[in-house]
Amino acid sequence: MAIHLLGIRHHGPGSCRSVERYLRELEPDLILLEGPVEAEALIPHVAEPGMEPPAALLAYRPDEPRQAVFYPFAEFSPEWQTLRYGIDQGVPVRFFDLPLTHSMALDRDEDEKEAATAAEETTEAEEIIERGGDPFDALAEIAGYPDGESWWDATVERRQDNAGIFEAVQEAVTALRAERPRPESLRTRLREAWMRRTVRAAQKEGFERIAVVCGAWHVPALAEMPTAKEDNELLKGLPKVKVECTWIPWTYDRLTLRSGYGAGIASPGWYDHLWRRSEDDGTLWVSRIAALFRAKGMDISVAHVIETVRLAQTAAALRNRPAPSLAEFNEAITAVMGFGDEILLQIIKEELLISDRLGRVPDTVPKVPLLIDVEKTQKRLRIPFTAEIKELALDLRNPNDLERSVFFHRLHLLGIDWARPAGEGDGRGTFRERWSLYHKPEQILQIIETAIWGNTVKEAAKNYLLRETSRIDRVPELTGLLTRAIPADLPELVEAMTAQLDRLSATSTDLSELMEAVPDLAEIVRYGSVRKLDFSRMGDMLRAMVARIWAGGTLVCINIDEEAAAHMLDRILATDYALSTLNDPELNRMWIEFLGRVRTAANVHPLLTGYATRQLNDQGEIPPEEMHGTLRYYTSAGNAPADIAYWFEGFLHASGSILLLDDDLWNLVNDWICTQDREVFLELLPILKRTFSEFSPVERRKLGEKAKAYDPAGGGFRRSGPTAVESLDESEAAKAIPVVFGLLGIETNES
Amino acid sequence: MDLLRQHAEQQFAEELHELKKNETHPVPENWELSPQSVVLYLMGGKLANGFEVSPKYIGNRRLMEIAVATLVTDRALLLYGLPGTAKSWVSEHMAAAISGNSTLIVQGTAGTGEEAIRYGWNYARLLAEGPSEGALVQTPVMKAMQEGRIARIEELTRIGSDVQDTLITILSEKTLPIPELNREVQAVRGFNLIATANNRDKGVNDLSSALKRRFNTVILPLPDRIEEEVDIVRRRVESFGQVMQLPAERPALEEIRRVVTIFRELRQGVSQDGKTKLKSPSGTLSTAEAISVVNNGLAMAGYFGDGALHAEDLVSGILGAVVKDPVQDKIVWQEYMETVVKQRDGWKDIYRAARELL
Repeated sequence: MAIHLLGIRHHGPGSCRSVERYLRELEPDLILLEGPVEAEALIPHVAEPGMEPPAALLAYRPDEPRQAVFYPFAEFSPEWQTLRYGIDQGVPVRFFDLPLTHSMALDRDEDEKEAATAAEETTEAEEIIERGGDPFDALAEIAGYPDGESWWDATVERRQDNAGIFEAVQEAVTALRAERPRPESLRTRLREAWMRRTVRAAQKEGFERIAVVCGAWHVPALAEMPTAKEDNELLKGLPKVKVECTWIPWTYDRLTLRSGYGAGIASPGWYDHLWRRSEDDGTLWVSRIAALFRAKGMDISVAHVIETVRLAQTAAALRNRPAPSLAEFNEAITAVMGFGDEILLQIIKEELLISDRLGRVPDTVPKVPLLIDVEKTQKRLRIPFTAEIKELALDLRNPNDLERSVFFHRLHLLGIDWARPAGEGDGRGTFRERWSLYHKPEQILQIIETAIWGNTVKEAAKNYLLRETSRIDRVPELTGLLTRAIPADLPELVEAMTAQLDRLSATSTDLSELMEAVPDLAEIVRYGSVRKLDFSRMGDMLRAMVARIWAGGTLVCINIDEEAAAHMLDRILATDYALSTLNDPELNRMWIEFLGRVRTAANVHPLLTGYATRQLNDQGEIPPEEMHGTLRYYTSAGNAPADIAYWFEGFLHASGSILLLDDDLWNLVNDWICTQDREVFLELLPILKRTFSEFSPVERRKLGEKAKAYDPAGGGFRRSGPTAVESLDESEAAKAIPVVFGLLGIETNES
Repeated sequence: MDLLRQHAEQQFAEELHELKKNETHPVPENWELSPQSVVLYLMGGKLANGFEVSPKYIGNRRLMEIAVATLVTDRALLLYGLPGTAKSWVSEHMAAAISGNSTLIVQGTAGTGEEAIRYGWNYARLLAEGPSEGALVQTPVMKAMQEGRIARIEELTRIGSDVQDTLITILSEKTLPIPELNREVQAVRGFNLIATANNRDKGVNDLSSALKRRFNTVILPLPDRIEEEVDIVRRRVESFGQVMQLPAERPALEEIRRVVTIFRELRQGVSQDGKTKLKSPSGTLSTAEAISVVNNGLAMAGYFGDGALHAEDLVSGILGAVVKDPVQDKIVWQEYMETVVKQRDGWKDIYRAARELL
């Protein structure tokens, strides 16, 4: 009877290979594996045909799915290979970590208050925090490595000769634990007590050769067994919660450190390669990279590959490493292939270093927490899945309806198309929303797919969109998404999007893009308060954007053709409208200054100059004398006729009714026309006709009538004709007054 | 005799000697030191006998390791970077540490001809004797090949492309044919080449891809941390003030920090707190330029101002360094002023001075 302790690190191809070889030599009759007891029933799924790593064991509390633990496994995880070995060889495998029913109950008690944040912590990550940094750092320092991770990688993972490796690990960790100033945390002691208890039970059952596969840190605690009584004492009266387990598909991306996974690794793609092609001296790896570069249209020769491998090996030798690690390869690629520029690595990073591998899980495994959360929310808000299409009108002042709205918006953001907004038109400013609900079975699948993003709809929507957001590189696209994210009540997401927006808007060289985004942003700033969110940052950003337009906006108005000018005019109009609704003095000032620049800068398309002039005139920024001068300047014979036409089009853009009602504007234009010579007037006529043809027939007719009523001698209008004030019937007009009052919301005595 | 400047191998002769004495790693043929010791010489450190080696290069050790590893393989090394990132300095010290001789150097210019790289002729003797060994003028590259040492070429990209390509045979076949004498010079082990080039001058004479393939490239970056850069600027400015005997007071560290901050923010395209992303101007904005801005400001303050360095004295210099392209850079500058400087506490004077100038 013997216990064989195999101390490993999660996700290490070297550990993985050592474990596999050790197990084959040992031929154990029982394997104890670090893992939650509750998940034992799920072990057989590993060998099912539909199962493809990376996959994760997910344990969660059915009554509180936000509290959950993931145990992700890749093919190169020692745990995975242990499971495979056990199933293939018919050796029983038991999980022997502290049952989650207890450990999650402890979690609950510990961070009752912080429960809002999803727990994507694996045991190892917790340990590192508990231990106050990686204890292997101490060994690394002695051996001259920058950190414990790289030390472990070089001494354990990358080692070709595995003999005695587990004895060495045991010795090293024993020494480390002995020297540690602080005692182990209660959690660790509980876990190790449970492990020992399971080991004792297995011994009692009469197993002869027990292989124990667990995190290297626990090995010494299992080597030195205290009395059973001591452990039983410790494990007495632990709290309990209900726990359920399932398998879910995982991705290599989510195995990385950057995804927030505590035991994450820098490059799953590299480990995958090490696992599959352990014999590779780098030639294969660099060849794969070269092939990828070639596919991206870069000329990488075989000679490049040879030189890269040689440089990586020399650099490794210089650093006293037996073989080059990923760092050496990356540096060699940069020096040889990339002409010193690391940009090349960015190109291969996603595809090769991270690798976009997605696992699969057979249909036979039980439900995911996100689905459970959806169902629970539906129950609470009384909006179950129904087969028929259902229309729902929500009043956001009602808390229940507001919650429903938020829920729908989140699902919508996740791309789960059960609830769709019905009927546009009511803007964000109103408190009414209409939704149409239509359930299809595929939506369950969508939910399961989205489950990797989080255990609750809120969490998932946030994580998913954080990823999406980081991919967006156009400002208007982002502001568009932002307007959708705001009603989903995800403050963290909004914050991340705001930060991204800040980055994008600064680097965006396309100012027309910024102009496209300003209206959305202005609207957010304007209506933000309705959602009780703090948009002061957004306000700052809007200011920065307007400042950027102010600084460089004239450039995009210069030397452009007719089509681009029309496009730009639309944007200026929208921005103008948005800013005037905000009516912020500083923004107004910048905008007016910007328009002033557009008006005076050389080579601006006349359409835009015209519009800017008109806008400034309306704001009273241009003195009347100068206005007359400007009119004359832009319409003088030196200008190309087409330019004059464009200028007028801009100047009188959509102003038919204004021209009709605003006598100042009318007089301005009228005076100018009246002072033209006959020949000049005849030349201008077709151009002016073109401008006026933009107005509606009614406006044109009325303008004609107004012109007819004009008395050049008297400098005013003859008081006659249908538009004259005298023809009004007072009694008829009085009838309309209550209606007008009603429309304006003025209380009158009669009503 | 007092030399104005000593070669690296003269100035640091003691360090090189000590390193050689304490050598524990295998030394490649014709090298003075092992690759490990060369890296130690560059980065500084303590020897086994307690001897202190001063750092020559302050920055990332891994870059030096890759550079030295390159020279161990038979590929040539190209040090690439902005002006003022210590390329020539590193190349000189590497040659000194590896070959004990940093003087086999060719300065690349637009006028550098083939005869400066391969070999030339002493025309008097050529006419008198015809082509002969005696009439041959050896270049530093040729000498390095014969002696198995490191040759250096400065500003490789300034040399015309046709002349650059004469290096291809030297680097790939390690031989230099002399058809006139019907012989060739074959490189001895230990020969290699370090070239430097400026990556802002891209396109001056870009390397042909055939030649590029013979080089491993290491880019030397600008200083990592603001403290490092402020320190470099301060030292240089103070020594400048002494040499030029400027009437102005020593600049306050705060002003230097502000100049360096502006340069770093614009260079990196992000504000110091990381909250605002910025556009970068077309100019380099190297540490060397920050030094000249402060010097310039000191001169302004000393001769035309009240002797103390104010924002107005600095801003015109900064503006000159930042706005190289009158249209694009001006936008960058205005944006920077509006989005960053305006909001920053205690920076109002810069904002005001800058607004007056534009």
